[in-house]
Amino acid sequence: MACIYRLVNRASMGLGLLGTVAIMLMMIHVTLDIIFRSTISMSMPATLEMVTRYYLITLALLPLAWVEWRNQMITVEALESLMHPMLIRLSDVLVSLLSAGVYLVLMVATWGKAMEQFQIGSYVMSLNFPMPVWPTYFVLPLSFCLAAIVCLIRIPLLASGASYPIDSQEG
Amino acid sequence: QARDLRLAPGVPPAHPAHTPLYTEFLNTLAEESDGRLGGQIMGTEIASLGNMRTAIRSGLVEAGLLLPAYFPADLPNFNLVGDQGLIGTNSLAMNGAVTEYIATCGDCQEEFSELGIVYTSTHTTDVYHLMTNKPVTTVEDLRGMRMRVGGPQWSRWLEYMEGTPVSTPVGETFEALSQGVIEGSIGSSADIISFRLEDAIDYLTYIGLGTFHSTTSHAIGQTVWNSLSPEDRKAVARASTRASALATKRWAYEMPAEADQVARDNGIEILEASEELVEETQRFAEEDLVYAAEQAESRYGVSDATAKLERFQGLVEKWNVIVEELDEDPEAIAGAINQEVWEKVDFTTYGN
Amino acid sequence: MSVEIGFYGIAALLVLLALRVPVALSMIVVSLVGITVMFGWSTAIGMLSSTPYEFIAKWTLSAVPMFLLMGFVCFHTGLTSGLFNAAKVVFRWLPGGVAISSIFASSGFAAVSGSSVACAAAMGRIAIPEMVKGGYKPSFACGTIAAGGTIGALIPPSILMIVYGVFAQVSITQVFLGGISIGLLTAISYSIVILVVSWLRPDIVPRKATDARNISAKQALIEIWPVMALGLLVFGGLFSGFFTATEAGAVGAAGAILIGLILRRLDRKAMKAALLETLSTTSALLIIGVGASMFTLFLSLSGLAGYITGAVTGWEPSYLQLMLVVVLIYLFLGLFMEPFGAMLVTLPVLLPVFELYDVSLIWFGVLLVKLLEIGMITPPVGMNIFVIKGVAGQYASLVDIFKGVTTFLIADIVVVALVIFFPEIVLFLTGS
Ligand code: NA
Ligand code: NA
Repeated sequence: MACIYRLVNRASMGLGLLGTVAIMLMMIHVTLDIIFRSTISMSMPATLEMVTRYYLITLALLPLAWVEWRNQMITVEALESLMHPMLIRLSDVLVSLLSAGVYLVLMVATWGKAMEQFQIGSYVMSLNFPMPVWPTYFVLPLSFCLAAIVCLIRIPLLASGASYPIDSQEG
Repeated sequence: QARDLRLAPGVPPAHPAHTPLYTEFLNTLAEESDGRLGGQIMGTEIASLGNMRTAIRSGLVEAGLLLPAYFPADLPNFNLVGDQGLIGTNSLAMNGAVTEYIATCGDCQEEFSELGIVYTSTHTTDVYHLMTNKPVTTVEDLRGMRMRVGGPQWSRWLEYMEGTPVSTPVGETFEALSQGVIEGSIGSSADIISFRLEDAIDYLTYIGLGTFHSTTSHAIGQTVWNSLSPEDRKAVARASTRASALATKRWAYEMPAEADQVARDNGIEILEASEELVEETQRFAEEDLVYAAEQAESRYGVSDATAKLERFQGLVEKWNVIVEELDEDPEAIAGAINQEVWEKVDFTTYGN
Repeated sequence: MSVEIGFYGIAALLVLLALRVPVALSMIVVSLVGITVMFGWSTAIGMLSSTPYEFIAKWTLSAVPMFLLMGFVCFHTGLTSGLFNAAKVVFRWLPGGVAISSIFASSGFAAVSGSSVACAAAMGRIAIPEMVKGGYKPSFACGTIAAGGTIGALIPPSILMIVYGVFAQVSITQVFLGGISIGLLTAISYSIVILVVSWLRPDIVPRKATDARNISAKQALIEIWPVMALGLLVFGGLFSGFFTATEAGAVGAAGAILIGLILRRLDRKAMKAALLETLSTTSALLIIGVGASMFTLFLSLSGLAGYITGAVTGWEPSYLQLMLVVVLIYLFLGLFMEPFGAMLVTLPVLLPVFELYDVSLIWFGVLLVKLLEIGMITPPVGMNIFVIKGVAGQYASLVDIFKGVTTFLIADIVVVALVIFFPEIVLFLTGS
């Protein structure tokens, strides 16, 4: 079991790291676009399309599993102080189960969309260049799939009230 | 008891693609179907231009404004003529030409059928002009200019003139212009009203860079279409055609006149393109037609592109004449499109 | 019939939230079930398949991770302490000078940071120990920084304002400009609170400052230049037209990294921490946005949004009655909700009402952010308070920090009233 947790931790962390690459690329792409256009009056190619469809989609969704693993989803904690620890544990398990269900439905829905976009080979016109965008649609089912796995796999831990490795791989 | 359709223009109420394109569609639909069909117009929170494809296919929207330019991979045959903006000199004539072309183009119909969407009619913007921060009348003035372009054909035109095309999101046009990030925008002069550009530009150059007519005014979902009787299908097509004509009247005639007034009131200098620039633009248009046909065949898998473009050009010339004869009266032109196009269509099989 | 489904949907949402289901998932579940009931499974799946992509792939939203990164880099490279020292040079002579300095240092840091939590955390580490040493009552010292942190989301850049602008479809630059006045107004009102407390209760706020480290104006300038350079880069470039507000975040983040490298303060560890915090915050935030846009769709389809708008029109409240209701709603939600969730859950219902009342959506965006920021310092859930507890927990208990912040809440209510009665306070800078 410990081995599986390490694997999940690694995988979610790995996807998260891909997200940090997207952040850096976005920053560099936009900054270079500004520098080039104000000095040599040239634009970086496909800035709008790369930023919105590649970097932003990647950095917003790929880390989802990692955010779930670290329990950083934003929740309303109003009643938490009134709840008995056992009740909190029970609600943790139920919430994790429901979350996994939602992520699975999202995965199925976005997988269908991704396959459809792949089959038509969808692209957008970036000025006069047809820029393929179908690969970006696969980011969604992948992200939701891993988020669902994280939610399912942590249930035994939540039920037993044990802590699981969150920060062990960091730093 | 009227059957209510869920309608989605995908743009806010002030936009001509909402009022009159959808408001008039609703009125006419009730009339043409003897009250059997009605509808409810839904806001942009339900369907925007970007997700219209999914909204219609999932059944959430039953009739919506679909711009083929947003979904180029789905409709390459539509975009072959949709991207030929520079051919358009008269907006109302383009309504007729595109509607007739698409309704009778087998490959286009096949693409729509694959998509699960039924084509009804097209509306057209006004002829595009230049809205800039620097005076532009000659080819020389355009050299090195950074301008927003709204489609690949204008991007090619600006590159031909040695300017720098930029793809700014339409909502950011005002900020990009007032920040000086771009020096101008190629577009409908109605943008001056729609995006308050009067505070961001200093010059409006009338040049005539063609129309934007890559539109399906009321794209109908397959499930709804299949459930309609042939009479009701015809009613939908006729209502769509009339609403498109009225929307084009608003967008291409009334709004540019208002925009011209707003520009003058705000001290924007109105310029005319030099003869040399107009001639150079014509030269580009001729070359581009050949290029577009080549690209369509090699890049986007369209067959017989040259022949298709020739047929389209013929239709544009035909409708230019009809529209002139009808004195640019939208109601009469809608009638002519019904006569020339929809009367010849068999609604028991169309769109199936 | 559909309107009833809308009401059930809202009730279900509240239940899910109370059961501690994440805000984003609660909204997605309710919308999914609601749309399935109304239109069938395939329509609901259609919505689910396209909304996440459509909502996230927006040019303006790219500013969110960029401004977050800029703030986190500044924080992890310790560019904040210089601001505090410089503020002390200016305000040292006042009663309660150190506290007032920390408020203005927060305002300065606000110009390079997108959120109030980052602001509170950064100032808390430096200013609280110094105030306690200088004879301030620890709970008040902690309260000052918790409240001062809220300025971080008022003075631009502000992630809350960006998300609002995207959702309400108004100019983000205009909302930013409105934020400058309300941010400065808040800073001034907090300073007045400190002066009054120091005058009434010298045992809480010492009248005479005992500043251990008496630095000169020149030294202060040396310490402050990195942040000033960054502010100059971002706002200078913005106002001289080198880039747009959306692009400013990328330039700011690149600038912050560059300055950090030049000063040799940005090592691999600091960079990694800044990037990971940016990543988790952006992801958690945007998935709420996805949920909110689905929930908007659901409410709109159920006809409830229209029904409520109709009900309000029927009731015909005056402008002031409407605003009183709005303020009470947000103060209530702010007690236990996180600001992005509270904003995105309510906007679908409120925006149509405001359009009806011809309320300026730019003005409302500014007021909304102020109201949400009040929620950051009210019990039982106050993110800024938790942050202070995290960085200066040895000085005061959670309850003490909540007590220490109460006097500032009075100032907040006054600011809110001023903005409602005199909208020009916000609007004169926006020119609308
Ligand atoms: Na800020
Ligand atoms: Na609170």
